[in-house]
Amino acid sequence: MSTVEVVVPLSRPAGDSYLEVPRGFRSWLVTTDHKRIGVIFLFATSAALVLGGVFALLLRAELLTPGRTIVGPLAYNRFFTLHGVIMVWLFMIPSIPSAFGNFLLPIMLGAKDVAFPRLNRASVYVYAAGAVIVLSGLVLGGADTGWTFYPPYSGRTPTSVAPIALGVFVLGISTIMTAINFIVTTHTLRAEGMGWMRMPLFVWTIYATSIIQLLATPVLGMALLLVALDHAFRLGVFDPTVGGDPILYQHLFWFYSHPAVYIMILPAMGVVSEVVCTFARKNPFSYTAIVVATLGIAFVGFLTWGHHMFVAGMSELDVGIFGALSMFVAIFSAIKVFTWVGTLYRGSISLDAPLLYLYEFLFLFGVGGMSGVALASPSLDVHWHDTYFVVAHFHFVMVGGTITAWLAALHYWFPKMFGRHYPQRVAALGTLLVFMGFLGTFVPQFLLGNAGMPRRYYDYPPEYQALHVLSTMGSWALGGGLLLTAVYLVAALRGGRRAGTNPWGSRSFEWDTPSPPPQHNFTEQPVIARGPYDYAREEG
Amino acid sequence: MTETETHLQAHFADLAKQTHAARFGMWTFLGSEVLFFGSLFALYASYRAEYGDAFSRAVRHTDLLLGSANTAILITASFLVALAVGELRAGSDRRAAALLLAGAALGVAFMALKGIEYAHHFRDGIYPGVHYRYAALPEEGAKIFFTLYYLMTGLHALHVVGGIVLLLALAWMARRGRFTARWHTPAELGGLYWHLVDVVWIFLWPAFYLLH
Amino acid sequence: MTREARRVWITWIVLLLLAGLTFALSFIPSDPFATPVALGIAMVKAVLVVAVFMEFLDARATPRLAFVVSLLLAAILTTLATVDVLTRRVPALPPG
Repeated sequence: MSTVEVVVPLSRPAGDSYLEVPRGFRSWLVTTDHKRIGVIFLFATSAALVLGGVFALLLRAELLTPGRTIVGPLAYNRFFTLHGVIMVWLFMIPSIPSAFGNFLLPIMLGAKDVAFPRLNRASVYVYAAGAVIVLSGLVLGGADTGWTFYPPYSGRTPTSVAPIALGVFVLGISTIMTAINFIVTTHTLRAEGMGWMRMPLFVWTIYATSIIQLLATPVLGMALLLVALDHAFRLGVFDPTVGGDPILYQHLFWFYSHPAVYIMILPAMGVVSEVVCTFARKNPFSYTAIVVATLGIAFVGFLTWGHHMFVAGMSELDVGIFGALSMFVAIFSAIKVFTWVGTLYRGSISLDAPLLYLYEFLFLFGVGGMSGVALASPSLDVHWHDTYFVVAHFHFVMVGGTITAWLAALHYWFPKMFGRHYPQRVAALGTLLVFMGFLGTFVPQFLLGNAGMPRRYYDYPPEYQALHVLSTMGSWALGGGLLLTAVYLVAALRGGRRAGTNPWGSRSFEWDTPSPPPQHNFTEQPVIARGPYDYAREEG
Repeated sequence: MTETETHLQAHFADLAKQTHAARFGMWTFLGSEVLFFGSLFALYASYRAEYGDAFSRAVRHTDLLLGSANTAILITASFLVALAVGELRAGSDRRAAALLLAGAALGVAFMALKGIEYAHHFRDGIYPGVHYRYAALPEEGAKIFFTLYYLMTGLHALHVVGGIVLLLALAWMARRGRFTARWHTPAELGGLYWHLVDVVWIFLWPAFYLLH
Repeated sequence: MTREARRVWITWIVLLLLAGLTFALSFIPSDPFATPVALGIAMVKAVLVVAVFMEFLDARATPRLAFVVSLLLAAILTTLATVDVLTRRVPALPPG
């Protein structure tokens, strides 16, 4: 078993990590250091999670009783719209790639930075601008169209559609800048000795995600630009009164928004691959299978968007085509799940918060994914479309999948990024609260949807109330778990036990740098002589 | 400092790798532009499938002469920029600067003709969306046609303006001797952008001026 | 003149000629061929600009792949949306 030839001083004078060098608050505002940029995005996206979560708690509170509970219907419509917009575009899309991707990609590749550090800095400013524009729309009263902005209503509503749509457009530009950077970095800045099949699996998922972001986001940009123009200037491209076709908007919107869910889940799957191998101290059951499945999801994911439009008025031919393709894409996710389970099997398991979150991921993503396969059948979707069944499905995969993996990533790379440990027992309690809270919130929603409760409805018949109350109580537990996590992590930033270079005993390349890493990652250019999962098998 | 040292950034091993990365970055950006305009072409194709006759009739009401002149202008502007990059490779910075400037000038001419076209349309009452009031072509398909016309040529025109600014900046850099025969990557990248803007127009021209 | 410069000049002339050809053809009423021919000539022109002016053929494999994939996806979006409109049994829009 050869050792990796990464020349890095493992003990170095204190005070010269990327957090301290260069000094001063101003240096953070103009930084091109990918690690600092990753940390900035981490804090920004976490703040967005809190804001989106507040809207979720508010709307769930409103749903405690039929009719009015705390607000009127117009405010309720704004709550679910803003919850969706903030969660999808200010949190979910950038959460893992822009934060962890930025921090880890160059280090995992053995590079000193991304290919275009100044473009990276610009992506932060553009994200900030987009966020400001969206928030200004929020201050002006938000929108009530749902995060999907369907015309013709999005052109007619008196609420502030234009700033929110334009803000998301600007956020999309930031995404594309990051995507270009990551794609070119992966191709051109791999250290000597790192072939494509020696890259950590997290890098593969960030790479595939970047391809999707590059190619899908422009179409969303166009769709939202048209909505903003329609709202502001009555452009009417999708307005039936001037001959427009609202279904064509949906084609553009979902051409992006279906691949968008793969933007949200692929990096999460990359985190899962890393955590699984480290905490089972085992090579992946099949590295190649995960790579193939990653690329398969990225490509086939572009071909399935019409399954959001089964009942919109699309032709039956298109319904059939999209239904078949949607079934197909699930195969790749299944390959990954089985590969991860196979990796855990007979591994040397160490139980800690990242792995606990990983177990939650496997269960919740499995259930969520299977409910997706069911929804992909047009004859079933006819009954479930626009009900809570769909809401439960996507929250199982988005929250149970992506946010769980994001929490795993937070805990897994916390020592590396900040040089500190979090309190392990409190963290375990947090994972339990999050898990129970999640189940309490969203399992009732499968039942609600199956019983016919439509989504986005302010009012409902009293027979649905029990399930709504359960769901709302679950949301409090989930919120509590996330709040607890935030508190102990923030406390650990200053007060946590200092971490060594490789507290988890991982063989992946980022653990060969100090915790936290120095400004330029490495003192000498690394030469890679082994793969990233080089775990020795114990005999006997 | 050697020529290489002034342009090589710290995180790249050598200038060849860095140049490859820069070109790769530009091609991926152009890929995103293909999808940005592509979504509008998708709308055009779908609406044309819906409103075939109305679209055909509406095409006759755009200004074929001005549109065709603009096609020749953009083709020539692309040609001049391609020549300019060749001159930079040969070390003829002044000639390159003049060619880049000429390309920008043609871009301005394009914008001028576009402005005249739009003015003529406004005079006839052809406005986008619900503001349309052209009595000679009242059908819905024509309204959608002209809405798409303004959207697509307008977005394209914005990209032309960006291109003009870019070419002027590159001309200035060439004039100031910022480029060398071996390193002129910004000019290559700018040229790629400008040529894509030309390619988009190559498809806008038949869509809005010829297919009747 | 260098070989590259000569290629650029010839491409320019050919592009103008093709544009002139499309222009002339637009006066001939020749449905149903008018659309495919005009689009076909446009594609030839686009290929010339990409291949010669943008030096696509001299670029490395991965940037070329990136560009081609983007074209492919734009084509998929256009095709499936247009097929939807063409194959609806119940027309979604008022006639006109």
